[in-house]
Amino acid sequence: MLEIKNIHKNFGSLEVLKGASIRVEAHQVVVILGPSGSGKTTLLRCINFLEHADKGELTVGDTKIDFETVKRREIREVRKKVGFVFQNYNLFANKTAIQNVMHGLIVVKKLPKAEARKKAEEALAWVKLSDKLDYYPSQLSGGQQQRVGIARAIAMEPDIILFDEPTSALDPELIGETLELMKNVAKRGITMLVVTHELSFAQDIADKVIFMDGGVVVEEGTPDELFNHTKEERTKRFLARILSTKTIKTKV
Amino acid sequence: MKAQYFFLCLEAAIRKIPQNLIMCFSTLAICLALGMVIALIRTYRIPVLAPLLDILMAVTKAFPANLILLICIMAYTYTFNDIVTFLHLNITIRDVNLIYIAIVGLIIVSLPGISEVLRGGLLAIPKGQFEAGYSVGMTAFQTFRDIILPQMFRVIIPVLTNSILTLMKSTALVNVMGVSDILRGSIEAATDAYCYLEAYVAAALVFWVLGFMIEKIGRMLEARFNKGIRQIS
Repeated sequence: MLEIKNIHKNFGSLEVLKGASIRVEAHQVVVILGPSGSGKTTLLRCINFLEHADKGELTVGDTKIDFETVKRREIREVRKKVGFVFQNYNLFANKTAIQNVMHGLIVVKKLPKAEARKKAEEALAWVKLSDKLDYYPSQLSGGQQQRVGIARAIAMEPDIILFDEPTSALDPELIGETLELMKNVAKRGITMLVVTHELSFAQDIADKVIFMDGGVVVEEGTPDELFNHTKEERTKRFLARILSTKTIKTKV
Repeated sequence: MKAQYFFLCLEAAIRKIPQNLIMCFSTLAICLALGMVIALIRTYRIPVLAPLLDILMAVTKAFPANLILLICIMAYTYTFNDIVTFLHLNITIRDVNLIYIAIVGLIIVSLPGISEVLRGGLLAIPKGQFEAGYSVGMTAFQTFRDIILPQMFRVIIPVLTNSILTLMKSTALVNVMGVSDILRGSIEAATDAYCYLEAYVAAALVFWVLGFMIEKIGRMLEARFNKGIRQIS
């Protein structure tokens, strides 16, 4: 379904990705964990070319691409197959909720307006925002904006949706509703690749968890393997650190 | 000040309003199109062109507006015969309406300012808005047209209104080129009676009304573009 082989990416002299490889099968939910600066977000952004990787190979469905020689046409092809949900939502600020969802359907998928509207209404109903169709992003809460973001990604019917820390910018009480929605996305059988710090999400939903550090994949496996039978020392340290901050939070 | 002369000049000035409007808004349209291209080239640092335009804009900004207009008209009269011969045209310098030269001059005067305004607008749009467009599969052009440009205009309307006002005032300078406009029309009406004060005040009044209208339209557009977007945030 999606495969990245040996991806390299530098920002100037800073080497962010040093040959990471990952694989996502169809209908799988794969979660990437890792400390900040481990390259997980960069990896995700390289998949739909929001960043341009320096080296490596990308396969999405039946499209195979070499990062070094990628062509503009190939980038568009990949972007049509890949949905993206941003950490800070990135809704089109000049468009209402329904227009946000419709716009790609009309401009990219070339659907007639009425059909696009119907699909957008369905997608927004599915994320429980039927009463907010004509609201601008600035009139919606963070959680609502993120739900529109997810509806926008789903409506395009991509082969896979990438989630880049979708709950990191949200108020704690809104994280739950977004995670719940993502679980529903997973239940629909949509292939998902998720960067998150929400261990509970990884534990409950993921088919596979990947731990990244220093621009490479350190360890991967089922949630049970990774959380309960951790092999690598670096993974153990990271999990211990996250769990300890979690307990502090609950104590407070 | 004699009322009779004042109204005589005022009438002559009003007759010339279309002339100034044509100069102002055709200059504006061309400046917006060219200025957008320049702003994009400079923002995305297109090799060779970007540094070249940086220098060109910085130099042009430093010239007084009437000096630019004078240079334009002189360069035009000096080279007219060569241009006509080169293009094999059978016309004399009197056949060409000088308003075109005035518009070229006004474009040179206004372009640096307007392209700067557009660049400011472009920089004000978060990078995430582009990425959002790309993420649903839109091309750079589609994203720019549908997402970035409308948001840019919302941002720049207050400053752009000011630029249009300045441009409108610059159109009064074209009389140094011998092009007729509100001010010149008013002055011409004054020559017989030698009532220059009346003529200047009449022209000032006309410019004030035009300026007031531009300001009003700007405010209206601002309100329209902001509808919904700023209600809560």
